[in-house]
Amino acid sequence: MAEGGSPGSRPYWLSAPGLVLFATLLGVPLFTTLMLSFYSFDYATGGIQTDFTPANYLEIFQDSYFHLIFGRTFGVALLVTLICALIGAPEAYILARMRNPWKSLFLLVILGPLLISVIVRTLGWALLLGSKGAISEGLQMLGIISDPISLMFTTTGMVIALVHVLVPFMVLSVWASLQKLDLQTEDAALTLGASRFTVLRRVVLPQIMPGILSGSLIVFALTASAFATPSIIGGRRLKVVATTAYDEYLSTLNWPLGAAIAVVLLVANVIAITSYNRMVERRYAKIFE
Amino acid sequence: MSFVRLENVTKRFDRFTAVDDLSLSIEKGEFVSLLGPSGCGKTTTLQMIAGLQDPTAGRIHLDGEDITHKKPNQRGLGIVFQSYALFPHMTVEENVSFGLEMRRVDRGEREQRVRRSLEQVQLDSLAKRYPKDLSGGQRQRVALARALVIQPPVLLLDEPLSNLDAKLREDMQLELRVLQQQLGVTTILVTHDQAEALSMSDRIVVMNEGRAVQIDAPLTMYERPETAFVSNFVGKTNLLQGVVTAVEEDGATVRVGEQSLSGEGRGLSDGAAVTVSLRPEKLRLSAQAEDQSIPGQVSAGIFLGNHWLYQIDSALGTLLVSEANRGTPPFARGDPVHIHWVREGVRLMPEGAPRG
Repeated sequence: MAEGGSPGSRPYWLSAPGLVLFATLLGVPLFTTLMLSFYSFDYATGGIQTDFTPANYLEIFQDSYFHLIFGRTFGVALLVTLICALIGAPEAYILARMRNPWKSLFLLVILGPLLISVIVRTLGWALLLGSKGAISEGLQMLGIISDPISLMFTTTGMVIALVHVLVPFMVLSVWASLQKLDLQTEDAALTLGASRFTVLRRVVLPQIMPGILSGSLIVFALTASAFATPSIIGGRRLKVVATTAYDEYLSTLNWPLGAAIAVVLLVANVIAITSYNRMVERRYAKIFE
Repeated sequence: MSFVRLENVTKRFDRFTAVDDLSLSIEKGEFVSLLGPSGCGKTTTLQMIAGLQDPTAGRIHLDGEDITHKKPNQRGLGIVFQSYALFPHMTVEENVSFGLEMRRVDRGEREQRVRRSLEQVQLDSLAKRYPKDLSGGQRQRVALARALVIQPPVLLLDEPLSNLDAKLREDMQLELRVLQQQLGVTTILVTHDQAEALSMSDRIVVMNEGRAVQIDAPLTMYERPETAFVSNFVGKTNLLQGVVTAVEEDGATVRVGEQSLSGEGRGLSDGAAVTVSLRPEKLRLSAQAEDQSIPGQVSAGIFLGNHWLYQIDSALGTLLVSEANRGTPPFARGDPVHIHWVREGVRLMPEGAPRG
């Protein structure tokens, strides 16, 4: 062909628009954020010095304030992941055993939250969790508590709201691995003398474990980097990494420190996810095709 | 006293009756096949024996004990499922060992029995493999070993060979039958493959629309089918419609179109409509006419190695005739031929009587 060079180069030209899009919209911002994180901020003038110093990182790694925030973020992420697994896996299993039309209906109910804006959903939780909210009023009416309680600005409230937001991802992930489960393996175990509980523990659970593990990965990553829910439910009193970075950027105007926080979060997340993934793959590669 | 007894067992799903008033007695050590087209209720029957389905009515007895509503994990039966249902996350030996663990057999004995069971199915060298690394035939053997290692009083086989290719299937049929007779385990096989049922069973139960149509030994089932359904389902046959003209001692003379022929059958009366079954291998072709033959013309022929299967146009309609390959030159398309038969090869079945 006359135009466009050799035919072998055509795939590269065809994928060029996509590559350019990614490079400009993801690569460039990431790179500038990384660069920014090595600059310093002058509180007196409010200006950003384009020197090249690891000061921001040293601050994050040395200041116990940041230890607390990073600890809280990953603690909440682990807890939310655990609760999502405990709720989502049985939910998906029961759902898979349901018959239509119930199956479709409940699947819609579970996936419904994904169709609503995360802000709207979280504000809904704020209404429920506040001291004048439905939970507080309801518990008072039932006489379980005498004074109004508020779950706003508490870890409990944040975990509840995050679980609600993220449990569909766990359900979908487990659902996918349930589709591959041969129902007759349960019958086989049953006829070999296993009790219902043993069937679940020894036959069903190990087979849907890859689904639970990949669902955990999604939930963990999304929780660790969650912003909307922690900022509304947790607010300034209960900061996580994402809201701290936001505050550094927009309140303190210390962009370099904000950038450094964001980079540390990204790196920590990537390390957690890849090492977890490697562990899972090593465990299951030889069993499932 | 029979070992396994089904009494008027019925299973209804909403409005659909899967199994309708089925009664069956199976002796200890017997190999019985439930044979029928899909949807005839054979698998549902097996599942009720296994305890995976609850009968709507009727009773099931095992060795004198009523097990109708006993839980499947209390029955102790060995089952080989159609999909094999191996546990993908366990090795071959862990799969086989599972039933023994559930029975709390101690470790030493467990290992011994697993090894012996795997030796029986010639898989002892693959004990550490996972199911995904096995071929279809090997998975089938693991499923069999897993079912047999618990020394079940009854072995239930749900279409165990249907996922194997033809050659392997034949090998496994023989192997399974030999193993079953060695162990003397009472076996119930569900299949839609008549050849499988004929080759392996002591007795066959032909089922259709939830009912047992005929229960007989394979040879009897093949030679003396009681209904057109059975004769058509078990083996190949030519079915013709006729009318009885004269009842004889163990059969009758019937008229089919312009042709009169005599055959064997029961429950026949003068003037009654009958279905005539002519097995392709009971007919014979020749170039010359003899007595008791009709002329015809070859319209098609296929070569099957040890025999030819011809399609012949004749006064009786289009007939399938099978001719053994004895080294004589075959007939060609369009050849005029004569079709012969003997009275014993003609099977008469009263129409409308026990319907299939």
